[in-house]
Amino acid sequence: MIARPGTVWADASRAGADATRHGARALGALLRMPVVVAAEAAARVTEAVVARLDLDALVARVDLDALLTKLDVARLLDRIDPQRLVDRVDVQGLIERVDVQAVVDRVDVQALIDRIDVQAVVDRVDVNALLATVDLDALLARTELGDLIAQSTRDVAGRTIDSVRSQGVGLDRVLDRLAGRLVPRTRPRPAGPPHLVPPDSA
Amino acid sequence: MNRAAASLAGHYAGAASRAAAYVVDLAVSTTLFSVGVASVAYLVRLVAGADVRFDGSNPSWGVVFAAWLALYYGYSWAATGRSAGSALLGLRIVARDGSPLGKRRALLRVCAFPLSFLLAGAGFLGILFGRERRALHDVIAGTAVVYDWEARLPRLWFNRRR
Repeated sequence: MIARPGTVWADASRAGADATRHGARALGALLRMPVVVAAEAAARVTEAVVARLDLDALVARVDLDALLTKLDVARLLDRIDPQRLVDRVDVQGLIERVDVQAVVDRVDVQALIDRIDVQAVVDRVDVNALLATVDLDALLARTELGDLIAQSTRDVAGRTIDSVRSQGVGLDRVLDRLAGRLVPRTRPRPAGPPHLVPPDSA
Repeated sequence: MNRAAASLAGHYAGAASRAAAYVVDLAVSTTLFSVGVASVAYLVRLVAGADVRFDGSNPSWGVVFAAWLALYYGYSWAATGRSAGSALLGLRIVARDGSPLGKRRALLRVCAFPLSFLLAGAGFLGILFGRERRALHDVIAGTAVVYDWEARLPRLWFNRRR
């Protein structure tokens, strides 16, 4: 079978293209080799330098005051999102690590109380709203206020009556003395009926 | 013994206490009588349509009022030995020897009570000058009036002198 001239030319062109592509790849690999070797060498040098570096001594030589003086703190704070910062804090864990008793022991409660403006605190309290939450009926039922009022009323009434009676007894004595001066008594009078006041006890 | 601290319970009551008790009784009995008359008048007008008016000048009303006083005092004394005024002033009516007042003595005292008002109240002078501080009606009925509470002599200026 005799190949046609067009077909031969196409095959030759394809073979040439393949050879060109393989050659370009080989050339690329050849060119990258020094870069890779240099990168590996740089990494090894960096590791060696870091291993020999005394970071503590380095930090000790840094003038932090001068550094902070140059630092624009306000601008730094502007860039901080406090909410995100707070969200990342484990408050519960933080609280559990706190020795509350030790903190309380160190607090000068008396001095703290002295610094409190009680009047200002009271002024801020909504007493009406507070009272609205109180169940007065239950409170009165528990305190038995009715019995207390009744007892108090009885006591006051009793003392008032006793006072009135005492004034009467006093006036009785006065009139008795006046009558004794008008009509002198020849013998002593009994204090009361014999069944109620025995004569020898008067 | 401290005279002011000694109890006077059971001792004969004096004139001032008895007069005060009488005034209270008069006020209570008159008030009750007025309320009673008004209630009866209202009921009579409601039922019979008649108009009942209290007329002080009418002798029959005086008899009714005297009967009411007899009922008021008689029932009080017979039941408890004390009227409202006596209870308020801490007084009790007892028999002469100090025993409880019976119904008979109470009734007799009610009947004799008006006699003490005769001769310008001369029957009451026995409370001031009598040996047992008894008024005329007490003598007739065989009764006496005593303090019925833990009476104490108050510290008044007119009682500092003996």
